[in-house]
Amino acid sequence: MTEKNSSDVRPELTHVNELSADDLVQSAYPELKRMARRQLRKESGQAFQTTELVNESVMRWLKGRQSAVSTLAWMAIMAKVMRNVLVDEARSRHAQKRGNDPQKITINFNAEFADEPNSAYEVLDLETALIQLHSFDARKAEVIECHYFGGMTVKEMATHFAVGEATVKRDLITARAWIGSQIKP
Amino acid sequence: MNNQSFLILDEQFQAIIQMPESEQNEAIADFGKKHPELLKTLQDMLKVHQSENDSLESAVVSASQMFEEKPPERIGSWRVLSLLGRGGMGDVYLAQRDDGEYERQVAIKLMRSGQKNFRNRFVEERQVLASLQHPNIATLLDGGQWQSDDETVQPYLVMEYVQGEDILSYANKHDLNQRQRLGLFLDLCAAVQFAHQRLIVHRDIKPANVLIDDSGQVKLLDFGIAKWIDEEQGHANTGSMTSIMTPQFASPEQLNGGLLTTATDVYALGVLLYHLLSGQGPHELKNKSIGEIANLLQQGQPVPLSRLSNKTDPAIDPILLACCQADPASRYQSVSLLAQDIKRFIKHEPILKKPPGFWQTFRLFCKRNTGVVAAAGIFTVLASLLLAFHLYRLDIEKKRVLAQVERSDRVSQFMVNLFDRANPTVAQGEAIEPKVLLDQGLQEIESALVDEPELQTQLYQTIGRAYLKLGKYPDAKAATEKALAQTAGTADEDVERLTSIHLLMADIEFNLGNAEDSRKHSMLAKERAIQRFGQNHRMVATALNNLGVMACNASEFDLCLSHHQQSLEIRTALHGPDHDRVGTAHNYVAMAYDHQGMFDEAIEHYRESLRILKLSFGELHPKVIDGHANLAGGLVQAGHTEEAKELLVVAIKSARQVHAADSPELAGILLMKAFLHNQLEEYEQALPLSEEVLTIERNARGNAHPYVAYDLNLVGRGQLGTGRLDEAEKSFTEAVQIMQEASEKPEYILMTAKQGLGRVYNAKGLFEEAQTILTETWETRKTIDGADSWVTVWTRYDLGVAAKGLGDIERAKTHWQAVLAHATKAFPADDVRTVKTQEALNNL
Repeated sequence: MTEKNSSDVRPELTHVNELSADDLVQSAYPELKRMARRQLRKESGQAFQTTELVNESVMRWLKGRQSAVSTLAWMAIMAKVMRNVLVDEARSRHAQKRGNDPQKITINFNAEFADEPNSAYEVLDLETALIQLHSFDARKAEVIECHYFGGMTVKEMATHFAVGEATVKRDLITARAWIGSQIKP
Repeated sequence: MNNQSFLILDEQFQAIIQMPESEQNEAIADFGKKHPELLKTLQDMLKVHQSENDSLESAVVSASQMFEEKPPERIGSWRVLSLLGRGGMGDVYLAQRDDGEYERQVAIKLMRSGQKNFRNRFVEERQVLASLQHPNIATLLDGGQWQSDDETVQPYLVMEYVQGEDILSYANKHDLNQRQRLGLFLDLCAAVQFAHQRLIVHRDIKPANVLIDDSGQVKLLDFGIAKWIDEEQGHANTGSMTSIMTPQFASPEQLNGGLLTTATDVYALGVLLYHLLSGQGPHELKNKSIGEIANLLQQGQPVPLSRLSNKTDPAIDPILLACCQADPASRYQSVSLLAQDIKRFIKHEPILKKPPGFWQTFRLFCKRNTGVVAAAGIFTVLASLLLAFHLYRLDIEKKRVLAQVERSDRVSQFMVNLFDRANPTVAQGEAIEPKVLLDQGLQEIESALVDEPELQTQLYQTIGRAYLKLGKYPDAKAATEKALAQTAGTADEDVERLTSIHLLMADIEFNLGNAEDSRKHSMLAKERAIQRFGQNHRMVATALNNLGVMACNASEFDLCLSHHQQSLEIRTALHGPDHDRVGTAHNYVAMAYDHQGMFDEAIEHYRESLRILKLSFGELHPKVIDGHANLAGGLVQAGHTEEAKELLVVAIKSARQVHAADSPELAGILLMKAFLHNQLEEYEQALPLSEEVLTIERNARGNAHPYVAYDLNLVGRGQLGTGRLDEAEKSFTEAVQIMQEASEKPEYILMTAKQGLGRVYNAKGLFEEAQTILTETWETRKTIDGADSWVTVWTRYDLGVAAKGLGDIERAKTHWQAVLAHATKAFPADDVRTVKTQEALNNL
């Protein structure tokens, strides 16, 4: 299946070995974003399946390459991409609806947005909380990102962050509770 | 909040959730005393922690739903009305023709992804799928690829829209009894068998694809499409994602990635029947992964249906068991065998199929389920006794019944099995070409069936017919000649077979252009059939029909008419007045009258033909479309142009729906209307149609084909009529060039082009040039069509215009008077041509 759909334009990355995850994200980001967007569109009507997207993109990008970046790192990167795609989309739609003033985002929606499900904008509050959490405890924020936007399991995250599974679980529980307390006042 | 506060919260929160519930309140209160500003947050966090809802997940999921696709406004030339449903492979929309000409609604399947060459693939296979004209199969109408705004290319298929509900809901809602359910199932079997004999496997038979329409008719959807989708996705002929979407109806080979053949459909039919009769599937699949299901299907045997309900006759058990065998080779070898057993079951006759290893299976079941067996007690014993009795009777009757059905079934079986024999090619992911299958089949017949000459003959004939259908005429002839050689002259000649082989040969020779040989075979067929069966036999009618066509082609119109009339009489006697074959026969008689110039008689038969064909096929069928067009043609010749136009509007509407937008079949219908408008000098209406025809033919036949020249003449005439003289000159000039270079030369096309050029010159005031080319045309027409034929005479109208332009009034008058004299005799008084000529004379 991957070969068949590989008409996607790949940015030329000639020295993958020497590139860090950040470099890769930098150069591949627009393309990854396009992929994520398309994937979301295709998956609509079915359950949201970030895991599939991440796996597929990883397979697609690493096919035939020896990358310094591990599969898990890729999944984490894709989680970041996915988060961006969703937040950007919500932000731009929200801005269109509000006219201007994209800064001021609040969860108290009213009937004026009736044609768009209000819950679509909850991700913006999630984003605000996530940014704040990152300043308190970066790993906890990343765990949330990897899990919710990248579909990564506790085991995968433990390997990725090089910590024990119990630690990841603990991070996840606190972070989820804290963000929850922030977005559902 | 700051880092410090968050650290405190984290620590205390973790501590509290580890505590037994009884101690938590006290800890929270303590925390409140030390950090009053954080108490609210901690309480909220605990509330979130205890809540069953994950608000983060729902935020992400909701956001992802922003990307839900809006239904496209139109797909190809179809306007989307609404979304009918979403599936794993794509969305299904209700749609209508974009031009609004059409009332009839269609269903469009828009696949989620696909390759760019889908259109080509579609055109290649359209013929095959379109050949599935069966009352129980939803017809495929169109297909193509659609590009969405983000440049994703999505293939789509347009199908007859069936309004109804799926077979299971229908049966339950109407509370059908077992007999009625089996009746529906047999209709379904007929549809599947029909396709199998044309080498098409469904691969996705499931209740959602088997609808009962408003009239109570079974309609099977999506024939042959599963394979297509799989190939689009790169899984050629093996099981794939498509089937995994509905594992309850998938066969083991679909789950294991094995080869999918007709046996796959037999399996799915069995599962469907199980659902239909019991309301549940043969295996308990709930909460099982695909892998577990695959193992279960491979090893487990379905629970005998009679075990689920003591009202069920256990004779059904071996039928279902035989369908649901994991090994495709152990299932029913064809759908017709399955259907036969169902019919025997309904009539309480012993069934023929003994599932392999049934007793072992049954014993195994007893061993595994001793508890169940003991509990079922007497009933089980009774059931197995009954079963044993059935099996005993079976052995006695089997031989007798099988002998009757064997040969005919072996023939269709052979065709169906060609799939399996093509395995090596299939496994490499190549598409199966019917021709390749037939070539292999032919070889096998020659080597393996030497000692069964009767079967061999029958198979040669079957293969010959299949080649003919594929347009491989020399291959068809070679195979059929073998059949003929084996049949003719044998001691106990099978006359029916021999006659049918002669008829087949007549058809093949006709297609090869060997008129004399074709006529010879038809004569032989006719004589033998009359000798053996008397006059009123279908084969006599077919032979007469062939002979009629040959006679008309040879311009022996009296003979043509008499053959077709005889054929019509026989058909009517055999089938009654409303049968579709009678409808076709009327059409031939009408054409014979048409050739003779007896238009009123022709129209009468065209009308009758159309009435019957509509009755048999509905509006949307190529034969019915042709029927409209033929009647219109007759009406035009008799001067009833208004009714002809109305008919052509109907024909075009249907043709646009039935034929692909770039098909010569569509062009053929459009052309008639363009021609009629031209004749009526309604050039504004004619021109767009003519241009569409020209485009289609250029694409279909290449720029050098005489048909393209013909179309250029039509276009040129429209351009001339609308005053676009330079364009008209270009069109006619190209037409002349094509015809001068063409190897096959219907002279009349060249003459029309030259006449057209002459008219353009007249219109441009270049009367010298006009007179030269028109005189040339007139002279040539005199020799090919005769001096008195209308086309020849009509050339003189334009010659008159040229003469007048050159100041030669006398000559103009001579020309126009000749035209007027002819027209007054030949056409009604108000005919455009008569009126026009009269006016020209008056203005002199």
